Amino acid sequence: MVSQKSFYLEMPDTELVIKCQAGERLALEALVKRYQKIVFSMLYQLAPDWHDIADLSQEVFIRVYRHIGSLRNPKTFRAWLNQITINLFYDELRKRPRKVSTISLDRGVDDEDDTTREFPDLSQGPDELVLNQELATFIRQAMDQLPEQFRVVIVLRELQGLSYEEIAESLGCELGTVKSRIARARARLQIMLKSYVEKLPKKLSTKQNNKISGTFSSSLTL
Amino acid sequence: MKFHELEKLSEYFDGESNNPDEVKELIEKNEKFKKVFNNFSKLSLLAKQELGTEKVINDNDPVFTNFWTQLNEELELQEKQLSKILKQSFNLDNVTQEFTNIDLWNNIEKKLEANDRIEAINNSEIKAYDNSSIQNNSTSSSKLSTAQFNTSSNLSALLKNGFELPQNIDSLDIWTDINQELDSQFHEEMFSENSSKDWSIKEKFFVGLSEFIDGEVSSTKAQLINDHILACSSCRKLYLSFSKLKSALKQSFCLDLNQEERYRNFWNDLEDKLFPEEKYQGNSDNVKKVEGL
Repeated sequence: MVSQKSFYLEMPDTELVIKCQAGERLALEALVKRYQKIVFSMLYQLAPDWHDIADLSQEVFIRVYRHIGSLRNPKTFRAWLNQITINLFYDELRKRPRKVSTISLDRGVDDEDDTTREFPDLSQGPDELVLNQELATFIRQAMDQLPEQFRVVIVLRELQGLSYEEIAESLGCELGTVKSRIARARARLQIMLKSYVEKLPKKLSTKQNNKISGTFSSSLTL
Repeated sequence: MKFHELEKLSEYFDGESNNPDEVKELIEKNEKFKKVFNNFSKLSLLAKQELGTEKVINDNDPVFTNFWTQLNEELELQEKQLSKILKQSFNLDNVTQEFTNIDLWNNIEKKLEANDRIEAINNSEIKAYDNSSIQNNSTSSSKLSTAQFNTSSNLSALLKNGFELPQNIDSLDIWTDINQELDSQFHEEMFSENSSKDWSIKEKFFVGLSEFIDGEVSSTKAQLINDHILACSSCRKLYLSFSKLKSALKQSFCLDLNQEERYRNFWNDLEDKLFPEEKYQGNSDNVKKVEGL
């Protein structure tokens, strides 16, 4: 049985979707296990102040289970799943009053409330650990302050790594709208998180960062 | 106006004139000279404000004192008008509608009365200031440098093009936004290639930067931006800041994603919800058809 399960776990999305549509529960289980993290994290970033993310994540997969038969092109499963997640988020948003966060971005980590999560990572040294905890806290607070439509595109881009076209497809909107929202979201986050981002080391980790050629001035202080 | 007349005015403006009384009289009597001279002062003020340089004229001269008072009153009025429009745009306050955005800039443009002339100065006469063959101590030592004129020219172009406040300008920090809007004007290389006609200048700039950071630009455009970033310190600073932000977001999201304990019972709980009737019917690991799928 273990080998059968691992057989499903290694199957590509398209095959899993077809098998799922044919009613194979192991295929559904494999799909859920493959995407549970991404759905959970997406909802967590979209709604940092909601406390029922686990239930909502399950609701996403319940909707997947109920409607997967209507998915005509199995290759578009990921975009379809994103649509379900985002639709659920907006459905819930309409249902519950939006809590406007008033937490100061200048607050220290010691002032965190009970809802603050820990991010244990034993591979990091104490300094890095503190920086990450602080950063994660302030990023979450800053994300919470962003308008929903900006938050959605940033999460799809940075968490899921979707291209602009894929995001436009997932949201059913124009490419230009996606570009504009991402840029404006970044501009806002940059203002809100400026002092924290400046503390980060100069070494940049993304691939695109490495595309910059030439030598930056060593006196450049950020 | 001839170049030598312009030069004469410039010398007087810089306090370097050999016949200050003569030029002063000329300015007072001749409307054309008066206008150009006033434009010099206004340009100087704009340049001074833009570059943060010292005042380029002698404030103690009664002619200038009067002029500065008038100009300050004018600018104060314009600022009030701008403030009103901004408040109106962002619904910050209930204000009466006296001006539209375009009206404001037309108004400023009209008050400056200098767009064509500034352009002429910058495109023709002023180039002579750069020409080392012209031996003129006053111009070489003038604080009203070519750089200042270029800045003024850019501002002039901005006004001439009818700088409009974007409809969807962020209200988070209005003045930061406006400064960014103004500043973005001067970094065209960064602009997004496929920008919408509805986008403001700032939006074109930030979308261009964002696309570049996300690797969503063509190789030609990437090279153009790359070269600009290497040459322009303000864009480089912003680029680094945005890149760090991107890394920070990714790092934070990854930390979040790897909270394994959250997902430990996810499938089991979901299975209970999806197939409650099977909860006590033994092992559900078998490959079997499920109704409803």
